[in-house]
Amino acid sequence: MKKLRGVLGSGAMLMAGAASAQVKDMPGGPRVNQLNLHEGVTTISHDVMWLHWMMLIICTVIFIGVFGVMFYSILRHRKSRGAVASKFHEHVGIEVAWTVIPFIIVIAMALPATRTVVAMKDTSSADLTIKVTGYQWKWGYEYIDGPAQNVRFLSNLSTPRTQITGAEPRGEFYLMEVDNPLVVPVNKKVRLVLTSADVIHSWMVPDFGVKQDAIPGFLRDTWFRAQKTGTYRGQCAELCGKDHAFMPIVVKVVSDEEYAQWAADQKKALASAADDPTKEWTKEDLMARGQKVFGANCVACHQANGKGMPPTFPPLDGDEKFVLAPKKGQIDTVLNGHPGTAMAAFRDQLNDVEIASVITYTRNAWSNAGKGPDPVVQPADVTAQR
Amino acid sequence: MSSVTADHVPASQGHDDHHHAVPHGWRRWLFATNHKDIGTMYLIFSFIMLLEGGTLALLLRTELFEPGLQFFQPELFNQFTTMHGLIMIFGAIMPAFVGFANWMIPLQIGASDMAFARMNNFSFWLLPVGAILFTGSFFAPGGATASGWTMYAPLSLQMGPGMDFAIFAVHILGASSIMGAINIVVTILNMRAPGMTLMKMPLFCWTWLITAYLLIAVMPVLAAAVTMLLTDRHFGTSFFNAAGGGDPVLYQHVFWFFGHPEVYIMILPAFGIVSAIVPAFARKPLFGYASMVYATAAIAILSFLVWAHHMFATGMPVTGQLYFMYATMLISIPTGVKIFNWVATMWRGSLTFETPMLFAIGFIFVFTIGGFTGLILAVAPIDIAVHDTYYVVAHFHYVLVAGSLFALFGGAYYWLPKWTGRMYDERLGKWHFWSTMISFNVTFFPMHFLGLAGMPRRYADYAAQFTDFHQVATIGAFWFGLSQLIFLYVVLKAYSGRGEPAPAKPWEGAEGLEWSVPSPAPFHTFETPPVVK
Amino acid sequence: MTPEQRRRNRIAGIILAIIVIAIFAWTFLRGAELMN
Repeated sequence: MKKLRGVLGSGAMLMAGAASAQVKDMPGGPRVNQLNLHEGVTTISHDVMWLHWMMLIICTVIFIGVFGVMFYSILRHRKSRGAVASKFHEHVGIEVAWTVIPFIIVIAMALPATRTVVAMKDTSSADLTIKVTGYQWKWGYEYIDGPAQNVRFLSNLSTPRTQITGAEPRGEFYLMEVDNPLVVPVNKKVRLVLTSADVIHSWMVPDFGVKQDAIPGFLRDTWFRAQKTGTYRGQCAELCGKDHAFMPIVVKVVSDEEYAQWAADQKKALASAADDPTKEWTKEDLMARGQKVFGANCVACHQANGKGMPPTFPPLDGDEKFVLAPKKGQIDTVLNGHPGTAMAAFRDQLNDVEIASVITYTRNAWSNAGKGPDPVVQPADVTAQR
Repeated sequence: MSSVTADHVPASQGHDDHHHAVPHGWRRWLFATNHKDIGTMYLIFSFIMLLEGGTLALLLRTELFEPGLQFFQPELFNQFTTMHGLIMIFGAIMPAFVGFANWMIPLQIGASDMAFARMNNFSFWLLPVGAILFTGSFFAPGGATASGWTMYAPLSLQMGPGMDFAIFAVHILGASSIMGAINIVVTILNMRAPGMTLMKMPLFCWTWLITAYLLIAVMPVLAAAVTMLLTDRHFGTSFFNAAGGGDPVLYQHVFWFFGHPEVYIMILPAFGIVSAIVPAFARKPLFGYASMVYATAAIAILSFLVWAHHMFATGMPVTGQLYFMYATMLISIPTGVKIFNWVATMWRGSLTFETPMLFAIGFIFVFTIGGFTGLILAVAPIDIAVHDTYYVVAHFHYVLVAGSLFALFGGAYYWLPKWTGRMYDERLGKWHFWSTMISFNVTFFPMHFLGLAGMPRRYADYAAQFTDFHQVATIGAFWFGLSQLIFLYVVLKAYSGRGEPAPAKPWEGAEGLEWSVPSPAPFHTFETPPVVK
Repeated sequence: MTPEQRRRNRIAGIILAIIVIAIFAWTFLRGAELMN
């Protein structure tokens, strides 16, 4: 056993290598060797902490009581100490007591819990509503009202794959950082309306005391009111496929002024970057854009080298069925997915420019250049097939 | 329970229509209709499955030793997680308890065999078929299903053929369980020896009677649920697909309507075993026999009414959350009563601590911890924080491993002299107990902390702050796995005939008809029913 | 086992088997009913 521990231990050292500078508490995320729940920044998270302490203390008291008796018995009622067995085997009074008293204790536990359940479910009178969509394997946010109305974006894990494989040392926010965090104002009741584009996901932020499943085809809601500014981190909490561990949540809680400023910036960026699907794009522009889109949406399955992981994730490099074939088939595939497989429909996630550019990219990348018909696909082609 | 004395103990002589020589060779096992032989086969099968399921756990704990992905891609990791659960539940724990039922129920009620001896054979031989489907699913294109043992839709609808293998395995193993349950109900109701009233039966028979009713009620529901997955996957239905008018949450309701009683199916027979061992080694009757029966029945009935506490995060209306919270908290009452009764049985007894008693006491101690975390999870707001985290993983391993598995070990040591005719090696048995007990806690206690801190389940990789507890858990897991080889050795040693020959009643304080027949129990027992006073 | 016991066993077994099949069928039908 010691040898195995040694082997594992030195294996660990090797793996950690340059990576482990001392691991520190993650701001907005887990503390090192954290023992308890997050205290959090909402009334709900505080309530949950309180409820848990209450339950823990009551259970510990009962535990000590019951096992105190049992261990006393183990010590004093041993045959080796000469104990002679009594014959009693029932006592109505005691049995009634130890049924009724726990019943009363349970009721006492349920009362404060009821208040918190009701509070958690009350999503009325929100200051701000945001639609959250779970995807395999990222989150999408869309602001329904307020200064950032209509702002929408995807939020992807931004930890590089090289950190995950150990080729590079792990960053400070390993696995709990994203490219585009959700931004909300402090001290405002934020209502989240959740759904999913594919399978069940779950939006969890421990510092808010929030967890809500995102269910495809249905809308669910939950709410939080963050009482302190800061950045708070959570993760997907319902098994959703291969990258279930790689679609975290980051929420930046900012002052009202900062929020208004951010909202204005987002709207401006939206307007200017508004991809014009009617204009004719050059192949170079499409390739450049396509490579970015591919990196954010397709590498997880089809891999950066286009070789995929057959049979589940087909290769795109040298693929004769869709990539090196008339463009209609590939446009249809990216727009509508292949139901019954892991290939999702991207029609609602990517706009026509993004789809056209990523298709163009795949048709010219790796060994595909110069082979197959329709090497360039324009956004207008995609619009036509919607 | 009033002590049961047998008026007439038959030697194993023949009895009218079915006297024949003991069968030999492979025919004895393939065509077995003898409850002892079938019980033995169930136990061997379940131990093999325990090792297979355990190996899968060690594979995934190896990946989890460090953050980052070192050995397995997440898809494969989740195949391990899924099949670990399915194999342990349907291949190890449930068949092990059925093995105990087969061996001990006829002996304890004074019956010559089970009511349906040939169906009993079929029930057993279905198991290797199911196991081959589970194991074989790893070799299907795309590998085994990676949907979690709960197989939630729509994720399970995306899975490859490995999912279909698992669905068929569940059908087959479920059919085996249902047939076994019917056999047990009919045997207990119809075949008790004269004078053996229901309220004189050992509690193990009561817990199995009630468990068998639970199985009959909910295994068909599971069968329907996975059939609905199958038809959604291949035959154009959309039970769980919103686009077709269905609802993914419907799957969860159907599954957990099975799933919650299922966990009681896995623990009630354990309660029965512990209720046999504690009085024997306290040399004192079980305290509150009648209450124990009523508490078991109450737990079983309540178990039908609480399923959605597995679904607190799905978005139920307030009334639903509150109802399921209250109903779930209520189950702790009859469960607590049982714990108190066991402690009261020990109180002012004359205790010795052979291996069965160590496991029984260990069970009471560690199962109670699992029971408390279950009560904490019942509080819906707390559950919202820790649902789908390692807190839940800790909870159910405390009740299923430290609960069910410890009881199975305790029962095995308790009845091994009756099965093998030899006293097992007591020193090694104690080593097995302590090694298992300590390594179990090393493995699973840290998981409470991980869950409270927010570490989600079914994750192949994690934030670096969680590393230390994961490393402790992995080391504990390997230690726990290796400890089970001690048990294997002890059993093999006893079966191979090494050890003191065991008397009919090796345990001074033991009660029950099984101790009135020789050790090892002859092939045929109670051919003529004993008369019970 | 006496013939009488066998008879009673058979009846009990058949009743339980019918219950099992009924529950299976009910689950399916109820599930289909809940679709819209």
